Amino acid sequence: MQDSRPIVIVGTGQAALQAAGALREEGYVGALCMIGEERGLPYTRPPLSKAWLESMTDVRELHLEEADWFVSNNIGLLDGQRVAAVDRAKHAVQLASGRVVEYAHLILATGARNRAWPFMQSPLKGALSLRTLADADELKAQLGSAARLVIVGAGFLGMEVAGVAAARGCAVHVVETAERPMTRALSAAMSAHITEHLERAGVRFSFDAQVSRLGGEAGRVKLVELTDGTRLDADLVLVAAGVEPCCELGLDCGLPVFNGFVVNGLLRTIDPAISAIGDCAAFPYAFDGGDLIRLESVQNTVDQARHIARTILGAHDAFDPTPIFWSELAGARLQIAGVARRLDGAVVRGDPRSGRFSVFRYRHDRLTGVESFNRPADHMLGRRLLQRRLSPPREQVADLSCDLQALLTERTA
Amino acid sequence: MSSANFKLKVSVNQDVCVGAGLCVLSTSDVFDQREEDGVVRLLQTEPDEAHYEKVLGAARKCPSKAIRVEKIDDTAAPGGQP
Repeated sequence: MQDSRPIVIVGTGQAALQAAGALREEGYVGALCMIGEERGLPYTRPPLSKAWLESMTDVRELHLEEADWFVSNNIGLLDGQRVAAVDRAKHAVQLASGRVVEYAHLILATGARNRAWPFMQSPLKGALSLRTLADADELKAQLGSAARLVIVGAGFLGMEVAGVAAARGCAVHVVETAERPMTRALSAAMSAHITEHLERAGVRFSFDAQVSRLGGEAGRVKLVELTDGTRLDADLVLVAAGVEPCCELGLDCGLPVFNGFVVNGLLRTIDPAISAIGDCAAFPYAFDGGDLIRLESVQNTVDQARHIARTILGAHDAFDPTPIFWSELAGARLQIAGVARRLDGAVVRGDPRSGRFSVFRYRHDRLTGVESFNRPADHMLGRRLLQRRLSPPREQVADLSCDLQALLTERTA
Repeated sequence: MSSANFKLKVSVNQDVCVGAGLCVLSTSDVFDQREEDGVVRLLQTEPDEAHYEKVLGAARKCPSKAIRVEKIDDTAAPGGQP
């Protein structure tokens, strides 16, 4: 790229950092900078609802790179700086400070934020949300003295924190509007098992339930009231009701936004000089005929960061991932390969009562996802099957004595 | 890190590894994934100094914090090795 202007990355989260690193690894030697609102070094978020709440204490272990990495790789880190506008005609971004930075290529890695929740508008002490390291520190500090925690939302975040808090002896009650946890990501069979698993760890649930108000005393949260009249005592409330992508920059400069910045297989927006990656990008999922999806996961972020680096430097192949996700739930390891839809069928492999089983998801006869509970070998198999668009017959999946690995070796041979 | 007076000792916790494989992307000389389940496999516990930056990066980026790197004083090599 014969252009003295820098590649500018908006964001300082993992997507931004991995893109900067990948550009250098792929041989880009030009100017490069990351600009984002959060202060400090980029850090990894997954541990914030897991190990960081449990046992980790050294913040350096969360930093994705140390300060000297930015120096030795000649990557500018403009932290604590908000990008206020993109001027596509001038190839420039304007910061809230007024400073203008021109770009040769702009990568939007603005991430997501917690969805606004009406009850959080006049905040009570002890009513928290969790997204940033500062949020996690606050939650960690308050968990130390909390006896009753109510979690609003039974998604990944809420369920992970529920497991951690219960293990610390906290009485945990999870309130969820849907009829089961993690509805968007999991089959009913896996959801049911995870509910039981967390119940055994001491967590209680209200499904099909909605919060009507938070009650407080002396400015501190005291109870959570549900629309059916149930009152749950609480000295700590965590709202974990999902995220929304940060896309205001695109709306203002005419980039299409539909549950994320809309990008093509090269992760470009309609403006070829602007790409989007990570939690803020809605990309065509090649596996599903190019339907737009937006994913919130480390794997997706890293894969997209590497892909964008390669395509900026001239590669032309379309992004074709096999998405994977994982969670730690009260000592169990959940791994998911692929993105199944809510109505996709489910075939159980293994006995859930053994605490080790998987659910294979199907749309008609086509495998779309594999959910594994303490069965990492099934997860790996699922990844490989999905990568190669292979779908084992349902009856073979249901039969544990049937060796599904053979399917892979047969096709390779 | 041209003349370290310490050594890095690497260990992995296979019970918490989720098989994301980011460590292998960092350096496939030190980390591998088990064929059957994708869980991390350590190829060297005391890698060569040339791998230090990549190994430290892999430990930091590991999403399940399954990689542990200990810095141990290398008194046998005061002032460092060439």
